[in-house]
Amino acid sequence: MMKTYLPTISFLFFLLSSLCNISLATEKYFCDSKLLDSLPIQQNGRIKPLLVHAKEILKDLTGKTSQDDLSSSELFCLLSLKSSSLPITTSLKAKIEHVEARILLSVGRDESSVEYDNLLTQLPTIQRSAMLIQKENSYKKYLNKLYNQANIYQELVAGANWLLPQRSSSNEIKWSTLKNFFSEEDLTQPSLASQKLAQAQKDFIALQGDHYLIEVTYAKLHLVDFSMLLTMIALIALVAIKNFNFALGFSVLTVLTESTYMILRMIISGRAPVTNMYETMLFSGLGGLFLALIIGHVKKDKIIVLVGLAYNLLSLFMITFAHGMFSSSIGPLVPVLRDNFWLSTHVTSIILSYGALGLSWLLANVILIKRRFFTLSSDDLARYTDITYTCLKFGTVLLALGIILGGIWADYSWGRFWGWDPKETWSLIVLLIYMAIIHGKHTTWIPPARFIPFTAAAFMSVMMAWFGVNYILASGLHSYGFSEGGALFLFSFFTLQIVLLIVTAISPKEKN
Amino acid sequence: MAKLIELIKSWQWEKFEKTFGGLKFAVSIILLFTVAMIAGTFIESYYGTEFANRLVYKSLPFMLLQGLIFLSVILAAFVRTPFKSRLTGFYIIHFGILLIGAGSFITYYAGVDGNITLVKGEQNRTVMLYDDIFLMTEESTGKQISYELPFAAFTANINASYGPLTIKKYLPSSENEFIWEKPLQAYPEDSFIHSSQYLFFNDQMSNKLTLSLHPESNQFESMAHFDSFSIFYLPKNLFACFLQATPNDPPVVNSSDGQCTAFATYGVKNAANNNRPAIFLFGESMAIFKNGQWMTSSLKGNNLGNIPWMGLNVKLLTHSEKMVPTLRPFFVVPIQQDGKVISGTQKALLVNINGEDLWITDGAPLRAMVNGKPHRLELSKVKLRLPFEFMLTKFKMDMNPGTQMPASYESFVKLFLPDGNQDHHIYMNNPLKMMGFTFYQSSYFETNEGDFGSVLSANVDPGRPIKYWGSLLLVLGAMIHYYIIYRRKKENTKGAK
Repeated sequence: MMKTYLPTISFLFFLLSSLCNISLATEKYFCDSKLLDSLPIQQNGRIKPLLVHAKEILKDLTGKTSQDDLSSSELFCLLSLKSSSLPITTSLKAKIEHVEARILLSVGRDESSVEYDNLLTQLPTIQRSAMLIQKENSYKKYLNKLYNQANIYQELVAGANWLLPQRSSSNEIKWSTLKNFFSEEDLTQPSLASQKLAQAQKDFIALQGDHYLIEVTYAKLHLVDFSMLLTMIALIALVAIKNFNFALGFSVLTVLTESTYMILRMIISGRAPVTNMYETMLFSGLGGLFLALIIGHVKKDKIIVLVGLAYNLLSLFMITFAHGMFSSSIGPLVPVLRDNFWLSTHVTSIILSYGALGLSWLLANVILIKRRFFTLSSDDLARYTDITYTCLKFGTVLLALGIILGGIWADYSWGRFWGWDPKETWSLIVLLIYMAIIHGKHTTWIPPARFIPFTAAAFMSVMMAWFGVNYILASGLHSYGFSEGGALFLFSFFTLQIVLLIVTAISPKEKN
Repeated sequence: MAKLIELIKSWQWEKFEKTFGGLKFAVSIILLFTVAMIAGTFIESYYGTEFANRLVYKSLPFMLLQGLIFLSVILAAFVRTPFKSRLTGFYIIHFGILLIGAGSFITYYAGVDGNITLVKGEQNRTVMLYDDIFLMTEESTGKQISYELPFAAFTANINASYGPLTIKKYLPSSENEFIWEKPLQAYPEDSFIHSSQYLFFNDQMSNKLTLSLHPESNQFESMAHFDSFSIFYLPKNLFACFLQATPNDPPVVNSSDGQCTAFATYGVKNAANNNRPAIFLFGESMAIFKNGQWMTSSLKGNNLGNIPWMGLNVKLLTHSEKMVPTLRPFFVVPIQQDGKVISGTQKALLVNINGEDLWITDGAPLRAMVNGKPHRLELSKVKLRLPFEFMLTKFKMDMNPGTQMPASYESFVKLFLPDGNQDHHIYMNNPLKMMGFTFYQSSYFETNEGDFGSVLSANVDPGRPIKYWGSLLLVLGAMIHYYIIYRRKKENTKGAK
């Protein structure tokens, strides 16, 4: 009997709970994103809108930028207000992924996360456990990360993460914490608090200008998502609909959208957008697509446009979904990088060359797979090989130029043209490997059939120079670019590429 | 030379040219060079920059590889003579590479690369270069013997002699081991020349301390001063005096009966009456004066001595009555962790003077008698005297707003030149060029007074213009090369049509 009623009961329960949800929509006090998004905040040595800061903090803490019906700045505001006397129940949850950490914090089997408020009580345990681990291993790293996250959360709910601009008597901007900015009276009257925030923004703009507001537009435009969509449409047009002009149109739109995004970043940061992994990845995708369109135009061949789009999509996927490796946050630069001309030309040239070499890598792999598992006419093979070779030539010349410009920059900044720094050395290794291939192609050493697998394999050296130096070698003068979490990605990439090379090398001409 | 030419002639120049100017040789040598560089980057990652330089980048085999690349580049161009216009780009590229190589060689051979440290208000004209050198200076006359040490990765046996001095071997990276050495001279049975190694520890820290009364111990002393207390290491026969002493009557010296001898010379009376806490160690026993009375304890066996400050304990680790405690350097391959070399940072040199072996490390110069005169022996860097003097007048560091990250650092310097003084402002990407030298803002440090000092890298690079011309030609050549190919292809397809 009971069984038949169960669905009905659960449905009623669901209805009731959703009704409750509506009636219990989070009380926001004065935390309204319309007001908050464009408030200035000083953080990590830079003025930025609260929207951007809130997104970065929340993404760092939870991996998401919003929660329930709250936008990022609203959530940030409410969490900060927990330090006041207002009865705020909003809280964040930390995902606990590491197996040993789950045991340490006694996270249940069905649970994936822990309330940060609970985590705070366990801070000493986390710190002590991390300190007891002598060797640098993934668990220790994870605990340290968790500890830092919990500390940021603690700072956030203590109202200390939110610095607000206040005009001082000497007409300067002073940054004060939430507690100093609002009186208890302000907090109980939302209109009063809103007024005060609006006035603070006005004061700031009057004294220091509204340059930072561009970043609000930048954050709200979601140009990376748009570029991804445009690239996918272009790819579909090319592959499924087989309408080349349509695809070309969308490719050009992609280039324009991504360029706008990079120009906005340039205006915001005041430097060429090629100073960290996020920016170089994005730029190499854009550069690859741009070069592909030029080569496609000169060679009158569609395949390179397809490869260019695919490479661009790959780079967009990487920066969007591999958040641990690519942080979109704009930070200040270390002193030595603050020379725009040489930085721009040197890195731009290198990354553009990586884009061109990326095209040659992708096309070479396409040829390998097509030849092994599908059919590839000898005409097509010759055509594809010729285009691969063209990409290679572009890449090598640009790389040589980039290395030399890097030498000039190093000479100008440090007083030496060349210093065997790992990043320098690896860029030379890449150049020499491609040089060996180009020279080998002239002799009978590398026959056309072997040129393709060599080209596919050679890109591993690019990945090593680009990612490996930062993620695996992690030492030397270029240490300002080092970040974590990429070693696994790199090893997976190498393994995949090597497996592909082996698989396609076994009876490669079976189908020919 | 004539013989060599004869040899090459008999060995057939053309064959030589074809072999070493051929593509196969070029590709093989490029790949070999690449493999060496890959190894170099990993070695640098694990063992630090200096070890990688010593083992790979600045080693003879690596230089030879570069030499072979240049041989291949020259001969590849020679093989393709007489001049063919379609190879214009190729010739330019290869000439460019040759110029870069020549420029680099000139920089290596005639260039100067070092740094100069500036402290506010002090004049300096000494540039420290990177090469290690051994210096022996006669203290009275300043007469100096210098020996430039080899840039080796591992222990280098030298065996160079200057009169009674022999430089035996050089360890470019080393750590110290603690050993007891036999004394060189004989001492009377009743002389108190003992030495001990103690461990001072509490919940937070532990610290080894070696104290010695041995006349031959030149690495360890009989006193140690810490932030809040001092330690005195005394002959063990004096311990009896401490036991006899009454609270208000600190031990007194009686020089005639052999007991409690030479007390005042150790400064005990002052130390005991001083407000600054003092610990007296006598090898295997300890005495502390606290709250107006003496507390003594034995450290024999596993006995711990309690120190009433900071919850400290003392443990006697090792003790010897007659042996000399010595730190002896031994070679280690350096280890780098998190971008910092954590082991093997010490350089050490073994010299022999009048039959006695002595270790000199880069942090600790030695005094020794050579030919009956006092000499200073040290491991140092090659120094270069600038033709003018530097003085830092101001050091400025800007932080990124709201953070402790430096956004820029700048040095304001005064130069004392033969024709008057000049003021200059040096900061990142704005070097100072003066009399052939270029000075770059390189780094900074905090002085004991809480002020900032500045480090400039100093540089003379006579190869610079040649490298720049070579680079320009290389890039231009590559463009011309591919342009010629592109045009010829176009003409061919036109011709085919």
